Formats: sequence, C-alpha cells, structure tokens
Amino acid sequence: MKRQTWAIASVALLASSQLFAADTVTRKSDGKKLSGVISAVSKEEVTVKKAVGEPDKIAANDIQGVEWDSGGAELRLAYTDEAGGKYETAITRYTKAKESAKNPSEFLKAELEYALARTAAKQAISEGDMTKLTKTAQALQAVQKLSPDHFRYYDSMNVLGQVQLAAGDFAAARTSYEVVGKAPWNDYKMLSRISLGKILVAENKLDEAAKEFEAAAAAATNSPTDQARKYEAMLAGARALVNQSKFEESLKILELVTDKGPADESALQAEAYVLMGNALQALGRMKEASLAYLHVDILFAKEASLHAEALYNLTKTWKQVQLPDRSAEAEQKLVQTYPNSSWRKKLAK
Amino acid sequence: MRSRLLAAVAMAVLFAGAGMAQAVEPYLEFVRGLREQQYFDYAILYLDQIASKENTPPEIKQVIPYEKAMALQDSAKVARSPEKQLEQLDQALAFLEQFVKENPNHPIAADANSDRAGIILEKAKAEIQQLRSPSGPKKQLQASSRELIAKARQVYQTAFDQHEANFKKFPAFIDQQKDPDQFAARSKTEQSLMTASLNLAICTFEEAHSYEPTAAEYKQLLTKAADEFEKMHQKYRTQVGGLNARAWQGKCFEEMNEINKALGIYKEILDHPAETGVLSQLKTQTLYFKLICLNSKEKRDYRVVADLAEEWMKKHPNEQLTRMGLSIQYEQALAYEQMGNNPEILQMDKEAFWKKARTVAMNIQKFNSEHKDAALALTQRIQVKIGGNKEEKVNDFETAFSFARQAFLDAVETKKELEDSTKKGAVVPPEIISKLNANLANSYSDAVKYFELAFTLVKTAEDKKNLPQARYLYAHVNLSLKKYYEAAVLADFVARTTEKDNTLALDAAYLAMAAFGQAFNESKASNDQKGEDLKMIIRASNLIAERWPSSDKANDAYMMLGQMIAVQKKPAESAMWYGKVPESDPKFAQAQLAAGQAYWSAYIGAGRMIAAERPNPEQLAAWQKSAQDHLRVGIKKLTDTAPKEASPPDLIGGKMTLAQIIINQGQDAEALKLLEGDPHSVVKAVTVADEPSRPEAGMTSRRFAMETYKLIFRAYIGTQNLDKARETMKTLEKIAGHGGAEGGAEITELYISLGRLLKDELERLKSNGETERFEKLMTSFETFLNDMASRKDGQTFGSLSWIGETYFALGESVVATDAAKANGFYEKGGNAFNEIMTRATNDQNFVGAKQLSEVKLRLVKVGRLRKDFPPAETLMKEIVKENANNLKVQISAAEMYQDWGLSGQADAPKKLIVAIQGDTKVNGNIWGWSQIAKKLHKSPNFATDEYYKQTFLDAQYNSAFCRLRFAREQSAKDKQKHLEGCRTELVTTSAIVKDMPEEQYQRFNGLYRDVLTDLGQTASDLPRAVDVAVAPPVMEKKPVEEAPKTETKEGTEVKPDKPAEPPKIDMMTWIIFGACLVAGLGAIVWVLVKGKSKPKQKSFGGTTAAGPVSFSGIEAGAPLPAPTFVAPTAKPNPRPAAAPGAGATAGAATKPATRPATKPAAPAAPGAAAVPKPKPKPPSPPASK
Repeated sequence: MKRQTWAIASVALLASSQLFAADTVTRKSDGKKLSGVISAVSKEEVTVKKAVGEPDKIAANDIQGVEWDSGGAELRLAYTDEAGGKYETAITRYTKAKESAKNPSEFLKAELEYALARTAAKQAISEGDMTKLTKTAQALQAVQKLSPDHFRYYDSMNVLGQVQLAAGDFAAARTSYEVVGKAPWNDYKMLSRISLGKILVAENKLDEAAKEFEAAAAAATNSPTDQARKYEAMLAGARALVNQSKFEESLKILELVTDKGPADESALQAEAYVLMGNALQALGRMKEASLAYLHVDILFAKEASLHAEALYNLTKTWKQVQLPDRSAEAEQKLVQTYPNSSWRKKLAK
Repeated sequence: MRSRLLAAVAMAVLFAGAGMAQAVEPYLEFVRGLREQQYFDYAILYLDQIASKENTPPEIKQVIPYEKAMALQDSAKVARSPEKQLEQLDQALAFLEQFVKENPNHPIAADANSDRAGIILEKAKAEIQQLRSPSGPKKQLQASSRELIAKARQVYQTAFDQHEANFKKFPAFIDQQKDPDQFAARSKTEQSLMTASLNLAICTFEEAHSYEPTAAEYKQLLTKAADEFEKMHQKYRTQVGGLNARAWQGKCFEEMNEINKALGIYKEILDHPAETGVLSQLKTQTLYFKLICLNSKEKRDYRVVADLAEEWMKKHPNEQLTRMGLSIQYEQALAYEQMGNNPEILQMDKEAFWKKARTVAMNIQKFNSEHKDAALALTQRIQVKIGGNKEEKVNDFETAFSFARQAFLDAVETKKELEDSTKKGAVVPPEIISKLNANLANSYSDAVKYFELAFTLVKTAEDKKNLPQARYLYAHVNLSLKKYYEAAVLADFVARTTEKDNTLALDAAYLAMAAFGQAFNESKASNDQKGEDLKMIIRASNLIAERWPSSDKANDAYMMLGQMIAVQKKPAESAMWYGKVPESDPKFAQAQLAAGQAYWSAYIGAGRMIAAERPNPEQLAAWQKSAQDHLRVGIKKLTDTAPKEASPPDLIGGKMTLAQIIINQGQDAEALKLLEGDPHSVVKAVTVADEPSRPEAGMTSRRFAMETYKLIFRAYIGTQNLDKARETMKTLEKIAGHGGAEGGAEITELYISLGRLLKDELERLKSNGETERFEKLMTSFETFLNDMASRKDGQTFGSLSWIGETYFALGESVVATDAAKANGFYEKGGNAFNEIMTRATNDQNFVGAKQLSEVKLRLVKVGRLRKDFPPAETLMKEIVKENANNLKVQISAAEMYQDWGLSGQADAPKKLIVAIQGDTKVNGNIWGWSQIAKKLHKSPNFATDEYYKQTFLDAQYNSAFCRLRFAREQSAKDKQKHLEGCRTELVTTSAIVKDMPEEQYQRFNGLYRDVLTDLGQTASDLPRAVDVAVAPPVMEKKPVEEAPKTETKEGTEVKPDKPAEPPKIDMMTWIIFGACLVAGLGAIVWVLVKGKSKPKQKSFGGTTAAGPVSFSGIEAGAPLPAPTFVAPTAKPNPRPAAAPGAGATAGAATKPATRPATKPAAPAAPGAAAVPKPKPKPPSPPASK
C-alpha cells in the first residue's frame, strides 16, 4: 500500500512543483538552492522571499547562479553557453531572453543588461579586438550607471577592469579594480589586490606586483573562497615569474596550484596549466609542455580564451615531439572552435 | 495549487484555533490527513504547534516524535534530491529513536522499531547502490553498509521480539464473530511479526549485495537468505506473508542465476487464484521478478515480457504509476528494445519496436523511480537507433553525463560481444561482426560527444561531485580509442585531485600509469621523446607508490618502477623498488627474481665501464651478493609453490641466472646441481623429444637450450670433469646441428660464442679486480685445453673449433700484460685450426665447404693476432676469391689490413689505404671499409634493419680511424687533405644516422675531436644529425648502385649475407633497453626463457627486469601488444681491428684510446639483449550500470 501511495504522491508533487515554479538562487558556499521570489537586490545581496518563513538573504559573492522564473529556457541556455565560452550564442540567447521574458521584474531586466554587456566583454577579451574592447567597456559602464545597486555590480566592475587591462588602459583598470576592493567581502578585496598586481605586471613593475600577490595570498582566511583566491594570487605570481623567464621557480608554484588548488575552479586550473605549458616549453621540455596544454583541452575546454591559447601551443609542441597528426588535430580544433580568436589569427600569421 | 496551499494553511489555523475551544481534537487524524495530502511541512508545523500547547493530551504528546518521523519518512519518499531524502530520513530516524527510547513499552514501540530498522536498511541499500559506482570508496562503503545492515538486523530483531511478545499476549483462540476487534488486533500483530521476520531475511539478502557478485560470500549469503525465506514460507505458507517470502526466495535463485528454479516459484505464486488486496500486490511484485528473468540473456523471452506487461497494465490501470507499475513498464521497454535489435527482422519492424520502447521509457522517466535514469538512457539509445535530435534536450550536466555513461557502457558491452564473436570457434556471420563494429564506433563517438558536453555543463555542487567519476570514465573511453595521453591526463588529474580514500583516485592513478605505458609502447618518436614517456610512467607509478603505498596496486607500481628504472640504467635503484613488493603479494617471487636480475645487470654492466666510473670492488661484491640473495629467495618461493612437475619460466630463468653468478664465483658444482637437479630441473625444462621440432621461442627453443648447455659445459670445465664436458659438447652440437639449413654455421658460431663467453668472463674478472679468480680460471681452462688438445682420438670439427677459439680467448685476455704468453695461446689456437685443415684434406666428410671457409678465416685471424700478415694475406685472397660477395669475409679482410696498417711494420701505413679503399687489383675484389659502408647504405634494408646500421657505423668509424692514422704518417700538406676528408666523413655519418645511439655518438665524437686537434683547430663536438646542414652524404654522390650481392648457401646471389635475422627493433629501443641487459648471460637467459612473443603463463606471470608488467584484473580498451622480447641472434659482427701496441684483446671500455672500434650494444652472443616493454593494462572499466 505504501508503494502505491508513494508513487501517486510523487506525481502530485511534480505537478505542484511546476505550479510553484519560482526564482531560484543557488548558494556557492553550500550548493543549496533557495527558491521563492527575488524581492530585493542590492550591490551586496539578493533577497528571496519564500512561501513560508523568513526570506533568505544571499550575499552577492556567494551566488553560484540564479534561475529566474520569468527568464524562460533561453536564459538558462544563455548562462550555460556563457559558462562554456560560447559567447556568440550566449549573446544571441540573452537577446532572445530579453525579448521574450514575460513580465520581467526590474531585477531581471538589469540582470539581462549586465549579462549582455559582460558576455560581450568576455568575447572581446578572448578575441583581443581593440574596437570591441572599447565598445564593451562603454557598455559595461552604461549598465553600471543604469543599475548600480545590483548584485552583479562588483562582478561587472571586475570584468570592466579586465577589459581595460586588455586594452592597455592601466589607469582606468586600476580605478575599476579599486572599486572591486571596496566590496564588503574579503575574497573580493583579495581579488582587487590580485588584479592590481596584474596591472603592475603589465607595467613591468614586477617586484611591486609580487608584493601585491603576496599580500593578497596572506590575507586569505580558511574559507573556501578565500583559499581559491589565494591560489589565484599564487598563479598571478607565477605568471610574473614566467614573464621574468624564471621558469623553474614558476613551475614550483604552478605545480602547487595544480596539485593543491581547488580542482573544480576551472579558470584557475586552466590558467595554471597554460602557464605551466609555457614555462616547460621555454625550458625545452616539450612533451611535458604538451601534456600541460592537453589538460586545458580535455579538462577545462570551457575556459574559451585559455583553451584557444592551449590549442595554439599544442599545434607547436606536438610537432616538436614528433606527433604531427596531433598538431594538425589541435590546429583544426582551434580553427573550428575559435575562428575569431586572437590565437587563431596568430596561427595564420 | 496556491489556493490549495492556502486552504491547507487555513485549515491548520482553524484546527489550531479550534484546539483552544474544544476539549478533544482529532489531532492525529488531522496530521495523517495532511500527510496524505502531502503537506508534510504543515504536518510537522502542526505537530510542533501542539507539542508546545499545554492542553494537548499527554498520550498525544507522547507520540509526536513518532508522528513527525512518519511525516518525514513520507516526505523523503517524494523528495527530488537524494541529499534532501537522506536528510529527512536521518531526521525521521532521530525522532524514532527518541520515541523508542522514551517509550520502550508503548504499544507502537514495535512499529517504531520496524520503521527505524527500515530506514537503516534503506540507508544501507543506498550505500550498496553507490558500490556499483566506480567512484565510491568501495572498501569503506562495503564496511559501512554491512555495519548498517547489522544494525538494521538488530533493530528488526528487537521489533520482532516485541511483536512476538505482543502476539503472545493474545489468547490462542479468538472468536472473530464475538470479538472482531481483538481478532483484528491479533491479525495485525501477526502481520507485523511476519513483516519483521521477512525483513530479517531481507537483511541477509541485502548483505549479499555488499559483496562483489564474484565473491564467495555473495553466493553464500544469497543461499542463506533463500533458506531463511524458505523457513518463513514453511511457517506461514497459508498466508500472504509466507508467499511473499517464497517470492523473495525466487529472487535469491534468480540472482544466483538459477533462472528456471526462480521461474518455478514465481509460477506458483502467480497461479494463485486470488486477485485482490495484498495478494494482488504480491502478484504484481512477483510478475516484475518474473519479467526480469524472462528478459535475462538465458531466456530472452522478450515477446512474452511485452505481452505479460501489457496484460498487467490492462488489468491494473490505476497502478501504472506505482513503483511496481513503473518497474514492470521498464522491463517492457527493455523487451521492446531487444525485439527491435533482432537482426533478422525488417528495418521498419525494428523501428516499430524501438518506438514502442521509447514511448514506454519516456513515460517512465517522467516520474521519480529507481528506473528514471535508466529509462532516460534507454530513450537516448533508441533515439540514436532510429535517428533523432537529442542534443537539443541536453542542457545539464546530469543528463549529458547520463548519456555519456550509457554510451560508454554500451561500448563496453558491444566490445565484449565483439570479442566473444571473434573468439576462436565462434561462428558469427561477418555482417554481424561488421554491425557490432559499427555499433562500437557509434557508442564511443556518442560517449566522447556527451562527456565533452557534460564538462561544459558543470554548474551545481552535485555536478562537481560527479565530475571525477565522469573524468575517470572518459579516461577509459580515451584509452579504448588509443588516445593514451588524453586518458593519462584525465586519469592522473582525478588521481591527484580526488580524496585519497576514494577508490576512484587509486583506480585513476593506476589507469594513468597504464595509459602512459601504452603511449610508451606505441610511440614511434625519437629517443629523447621516448625518454620523456618513460619519465611519465615513472611519475605515474610514483604517485601510486607515494599516495597508496600499502595498496595492491602499489605493488604493481613497484614492479613498473623497478622495470622502468632498470631501463634508465639504475639497476640498484630498480632492485630497491622490486624489493618493496611484499611477501604477501602474488608477484613477490617474480619481484625478487627481477631484483636479483637488476643487481646482476649492475654487476655485469660495471665490467664494461671505464675505470674512473666503475664502482669499487666492495660495491660490486655487494651487488653480486644482493643478486644472489634475491634470486635465491625468488627461486625458493617459486620452488615451494609450483607443482613439482611444472617448469615455471620465471623459476627456470632465475635458476639460470643464479647458476651463472655462482659459476662466476667458482661454485661450479652447486651450479650443476641447480641446473640439473630436481624439482624444476632446467635440463628437463629445455629437453624435447624431437630435436628438429624445437620452437622459435620459449624454454625449449634452440637458443635457450644452447645457453643452458653452455652453462653446464662451462661448469663441467670448472669442475675439471673432462668426460662430462665432452658429453655436454656433443649435446650442444646436436642441438645446434638441427638449426635447419644453417646448422653447420650454428656449430661454428657456437664455438666462437663459447670462446667469446670465456673472454668476457675473464675480462670482467680482470676489470672488477678479481685477480685470484682470474688466475684460477685461466689455469683451469689452460689445463683443460691442453688435455683436450693432446688427445688424438675422438676429435671432431666442433671440439677442435672450440679448442682454437678458446685459446684465442685466453690469448686476448693476457695480451695486454703478457704478449709472449698470448702469442703462445694464438699459436696453439692456430694449431687446432690447422688440424682441422689437415683432417679435412684426409677426410672429405670431416668438414663441410662452408665450415672450411670459416676455418680459413680463423687462420687469417691467427696471422693477424700474431702479426704474421703476409701469409694471412695470401690466405685471405684465397677466401675472397671464393666468397667475393660475402660480407663477413670482406669485413675480415678490412680488419686484417687495418691491423697490418697499425702494426708498425715496414710500409704498414699503405695497408691502411687498402683497409679503407680495398684493392680491386687482387682476384675477387677486396672492398675495404668504404665500399662495405657504401653497399650497406645502399641496401633497401638499411632503413629498417638495425644490423645494417650498426655494421655501417662500424665500417664508417674504422674507415675514418684508418684515415686519421694514415694522415698522421703523411707530410703536412697531405696530412691536411686527409684530415679534412676524415672530418667530412665523420660529419656525413652523423647526418646519415639521425638516431645514432649515444654511445656510438660518443665514439665518433672522440675521433672527430682528435681530427680537429690534429688539424690545429679547437676541439669541438661532432654536430648531431639535427645540426648538420651538410647534405647529401658522400655516398649519395654516385649514381645509385644495386644493393651488394652475396652468396647464399645455394649459390644464388642475393642481398648481403646476414647470418641470422637481426633484431627487429628500432635504435631508440636499443638505447633505452640495451643498457640493463647487455652482455650478461643472466640477462640473456632471462629473455630467452620468457619467449619472444608468447604471453606469460598466468600463474607465474609477473614482471622481471626483462619482462613486461602484468596488471591484474584487467581489460584493456584496445588490443594490447604482445610482450616484446627481442633476442638478437648470433651474427658475425664486424670486429674492430686492433690498435698497434694495444693488441686486439684489450677491453673496449678499459682502453678506449687505443681500441678504435667497438660496439657497445653489439649482440655479441646469441640472445644478447631483450627489450622489456611495459605492458600496462588499465583496470577494467566499470561494468555495472
């Protein structure tokens, strides 16, 4: 009797869950999904009002993802595409979602604007296109001005800094990253320091940069987010070492990052492996370099820009280790997957 | 729905308010009403509310924890996430425990205990479910699931006791008419008692699942469970409970593959006439069990399954969405799919069945049940079969991973089918095989697509949790597709980044090691790159050794490390790793033997080092001792465990090596005991009934048998047992004489090799500082030889050849220190060969024509060694005239002129030019080093045949060396010209042989630096192939010539004579593997005993220094290469000519400056080298779904 009740009950619940469909915010710290209606947003948090009980407040730095009730399937797919580095499709989907959203709240409207500007910015960075970089920086600034009190604000400021850094506008990037540092969370303050360090690297102030990275790493508490940032700081330090041709030293740090750093932080891991490949390549250890790049190709291909860079390098290193077929495969993949990337263009040169 | 919710809330408020107004409130009825309506949250909210009210009756308050547990338990059943389910069940369990603790004698305490036990058992089942996943920490899960089952059993027992006690409180007879309530209460208690009893047996049934189906415990526990169910059935056979037990008994039989027995039981139940109530439910469950049986591979009654399921659905329209209903539909969907898979029906019919299967599966996947995932996968399989667009529906990791996993499992299954179909004796039509191949390719292609998609869809914490498993499975896919680097990278990442306690991490590490091994095996890259692959294997093996030092797989890793590090020429370190394999491991004996082998290789190798690099005598003695110790342990272990009549190859090989070591120490008698004694006699192992039938490889091969008897022969000489030695010599000749068309040559080679063996042994003793042993051995041999030589009767071609060769060996061993003594030996050697010539003149049958040429060549050698060149030249010309195209003859001629040129005799330098350029004026045309090299280079075999390359290198080296020495004798102007020519020659050689082994390169480089110095330039290194811009090489200047022709035995002209098939192995492999195996007979026998390409015998298989690693419990994704043992056969290597003053006998390593050309890795004796290839096999891909 129990089995029958159980099965019928499950049908009823499925039906009811559709009717109750609401906004869902997934919390990064514990992976918990909090459903209800997003009733308020600010730079610092999102409030989810539930059917029963006190509303949930989720800090903006603890948001893993948001599913908007009125966002529809296109929006969900757009998020996936963006995360998978398919920026072009993501932009198309975000645009469609914007057009088809049914009675979107102000928060969702702003979310869509942020998403569009952010994705375009990421695309511009991966392509290294100066015109696009300028344009997307302006778009980001426009949406920040329009919706400054939104939970995507600090993230967008970080992306803006990246765009400005890629465009070589160090002063503007510095301003943007300093704003990131004003966020009330330690991991964002660490992020700000790391990013400021990266500007110093670009300015070739390597000693100062190293200090920034060290300071950022030292500020880490035991929280998982801080720990992830600590490895980011180490990674940035390793990059500076690679820039100074201190390959052996950089490898020691990179091995630590890849072995002990959070394995599911794909951006962190992908960058570490690309850098490792670069260092090994410079040392003439081509087979090891190939395998380092291969990590990005098969484990972290969703990191579009780094993936393209890894593929580009694989075209070179596989040849060096007398595997020309593999080199050709990597080339084909680069051409097909990232036809507009700067790495693809570099290949053609 | 919102309005329903509001209504419920309003109701709750109303009830709460009413509670204040009314004295009696139907508290529990309301709670149960909320539960039935699935308002579990509100039910709990309400229970909390009444718990805090003062006026709630105490008997109600008493059961609140129990009621909360019931609400949570019901809620868990419909929870969508497993975490939520688990959380709610844990809470329910806590409330139940609270309830039974506070109210142990409450009337429903027994029910509470039953529920408690039920939850605990469910948790155990969840863990057992995880056991089927490759990512689960298996041992841990097995242990904890058994612990939970034990706990559940204990609680069920308590419940059973309580129910039994309650039941006993009722009178034996209750009149249902008079006291219906008491009758019903007793029935209910009895039912609870039966349920508890049934559940106790189910605990046993579930415990069986905590073991692998192949484990003995699995069957034992199922048998036990079947007995328990049977007892219950006997006790309650007239009641539904008894029948239920019977059905479960059938399930036990089904799981033990006793399908017919199970079906018989199911029939009994299904034939029961009653169709209502509980019995109807039981029949439904039984039908489900029956359908599983009918869908099994043993029955394949798919049509019956489909019909029975259809019939049931018609009869039970309201039960289709129950757990059993969905289960029955799932079996129906599987049956439809299989019906569509029938290759004998039309495509349209196939599609019709598949569509039916899809419809049913899509219906199942809409609802929560244990079949949801499987139904989803089934839908996708069908989509692939009938064509459809599934990508659009895959937007999340879970789905993509589910498809990927399914495709992978399909591939595993298809591969197995394919293997079964292609097994010897299987009669499967080719079109089926080709279809299976196509299916396999499709499944892999799908797997790749969905794994890659899944990786881009990782979002939630749950996704991340499953990511290592996905990566691990994807590594398996890559391995199957021979993408070894991808497989290794994936597996290595999982191994490094997953918790060490998770079995998946260790499995992944093992897979990474195997994948790198495969990459190494199949790599066609250059030396350097293969060296890189080697490093990867070592790194992957190290990871296992460091992270899981006490695991079974670590032992495999130790074996692999031992093998690979031996390849890196670190035998002592290699032995250290072998030594780590514990005695408890089945590979212990093999590891000990390999360790002994590694130490012996180190000892042997030291003898070839230059003095400055050679370890001190204490170290050498320690290595020799360690070699013995390990070999003795390994031999003892194998002797104790192997059947007395068996001849385990590892044991035989170990005995051979140990015999060599102790012969080296003068313990000849013990060596003979080891070789000839029982059990596991080496002599018996190599004996065949029919000599000509010896196989090409293995212990009974001709080569191995000869090596065995050479050792025995050597040991008899050591014991001064002349008769036995001669007897052994005859046996040796008999074995060698059956070497087919080359039999005669084999005998000649046999004696040459015996002489060389002695020379090697003497040189090793000398260079290792074992003077006493050296002197003793010299004396022993001299006495023996003198005795042999003095005998006039009974001499054969073989015995005289041996005497001659052995005198040469003795002479070469002392020439550096006592030229007069050496000369005496050479003379005695020459006498032996002259005796052959004399006897051949008198007796035409004494020796064959080809052997006679060999004897003449040996006489030329006597002239060379004694520096008596003119008569040697005369004889040489005679030989050349008869054998103009014989490479070996031409090499001997060049060597003779080279030795003459360097002899310091009058006009000697001119002979250097003859050595280089040959002499076309004399009859038969002497080629000289230059022509020899040119003809070899032009040969079509040059690119592929290592022998050609090595001989070419020697010829080139000798040519340049002669030129340098000639230049030094010339005027300044001519000297310059010749030195320039010499330099060009060396650079050209470096350009031609792109993968010149390092040791060869060093030899050429030394000469090159000397030339530059003589030219008055700063010495610099010889440009390597990649740096050499000069092209084309000198030999390319002339029009293409035909490959040199030489005479075969039959007199036809073919390519250059090559006495035996050279090793088919690239130069890189020589370099890598050569070092640990060169020269030592121990190494030779080690190789030979393992056979050339035969797989190892399972019971004694393992790794040795020269053997492949074997991994246990394995199924490789792709066909794995057979172990590669390449044992070069005996061949006349171009021997370098002696430098003046140094004599031809100084060891190459000890006198590098005066000895112009040696071949460090020359296959100087039969079977002089072997190549261990790692034979990594990955852990079997997880097969369970």
